[in-house]
Amino acid sequence: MHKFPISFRLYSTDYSAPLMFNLYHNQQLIYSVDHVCESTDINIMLHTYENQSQELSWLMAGKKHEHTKLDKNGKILSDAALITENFKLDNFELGHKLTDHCVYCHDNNGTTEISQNTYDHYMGCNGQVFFSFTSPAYIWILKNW
Amino acid sequence: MLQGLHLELTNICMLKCPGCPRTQFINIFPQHWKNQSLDAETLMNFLDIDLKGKNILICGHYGDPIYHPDFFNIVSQLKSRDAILEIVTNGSYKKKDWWKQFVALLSDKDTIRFSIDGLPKNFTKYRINADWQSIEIGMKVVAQSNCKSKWSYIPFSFNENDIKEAELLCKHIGIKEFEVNKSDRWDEYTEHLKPSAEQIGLRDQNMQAWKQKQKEKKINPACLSTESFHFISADGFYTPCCYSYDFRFYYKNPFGLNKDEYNIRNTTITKVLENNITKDFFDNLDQYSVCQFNCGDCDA
Repeated sequence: MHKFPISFRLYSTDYSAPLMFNLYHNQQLIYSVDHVCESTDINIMLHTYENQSQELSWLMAGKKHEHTKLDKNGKILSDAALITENFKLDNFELGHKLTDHCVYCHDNNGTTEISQNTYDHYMGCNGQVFFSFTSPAYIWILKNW
Repeated sequence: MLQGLHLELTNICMLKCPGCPRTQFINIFPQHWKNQSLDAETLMNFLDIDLKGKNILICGHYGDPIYHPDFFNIVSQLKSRDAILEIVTNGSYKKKDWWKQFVALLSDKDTIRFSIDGLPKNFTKYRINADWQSIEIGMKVVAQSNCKSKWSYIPFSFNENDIKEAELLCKHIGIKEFEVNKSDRWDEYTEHLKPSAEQIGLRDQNMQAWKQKQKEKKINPACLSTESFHFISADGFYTPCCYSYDFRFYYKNPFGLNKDEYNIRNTTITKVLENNITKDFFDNLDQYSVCQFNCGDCDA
């Protein structure tokens, strides 16, 4: 059994918007907040078996059209979104290794079919980000160095 | 295929040199560091070949061999099989009697190389935690023995003007050879110690270029030259060279990905060299990032 922490900072660009955030490890809910109303440092210990595929995913819900303010030309003036930063796996800051291995599934807030998109730490659409790796996490990091 | 061997007897070291992969690994993953040392019996069983006249470099990628808990036993077993040894060490923290016992095991074909970058007043700027007092004791004992001896000196910004003085000190102590070893190991941990351009190793330019582009290029592999040193790590695994054991490359190359096949507890050097994975690696060296980075051709 390997145990190691994951940690990151979660914040919103608009705390008045009731954006919900759920975090899953291998599809098991490990963290949930109904309304991200303040910047939060998340730090959770994961328990894994060696040489097994692992999946972390995080879901945003609750975003509505009125959370995006547009000018008369349709240009976005402000937007409600959730942002993750300083994402660490086993105390190692992943940086682009995280975004290189994430898939962000969303439907552009109901305007398109669900599609897979790149993730750049910014969740502007209701949807789910999937991040896959193997355990032990530090070996996965070294394999992807 | 086998010209020589490079043994990392231990990954233990008393120093904290900023350019050393040991220091860097511990900085990044302190929770995953384990001190390891080769088991003498396992090593001797793995080396199922005639070692007579074979060059064996006893250095390491992560550690200093003199801190192996059973050092004399391994050295004497290798000498009993007529291997020619070159031991690379900083030489800190051993006593005079220890050095006397050590040199008594060696012949005039063997070499002890001291890695000391600078003068007693400043060499610890890179060799952090090193101890001149005990090094000098060791050097004097080695100088009076019949084995060959070297002082290896890496120029840094703080010592590049002290080379002549260090060479004089080397002669005064009685170490037989002094060599300036221009380093190409420059990264964010050592950038502040970088000397002037003429004191930087030839491979530096390639390495920096590779870091930017990370793409295939012409290589000039050292492992195919007569200076080939197949590497055995302190935790008991084979790789074709010490570079391919570096944590930044190991888990991406066939030796890290097929670790069980290269565990010296379960195989021999003969079987390793006959292994198809090994042969395939040597047939396709230019495909591997570790070879592109470490053995890139300056003219490519």
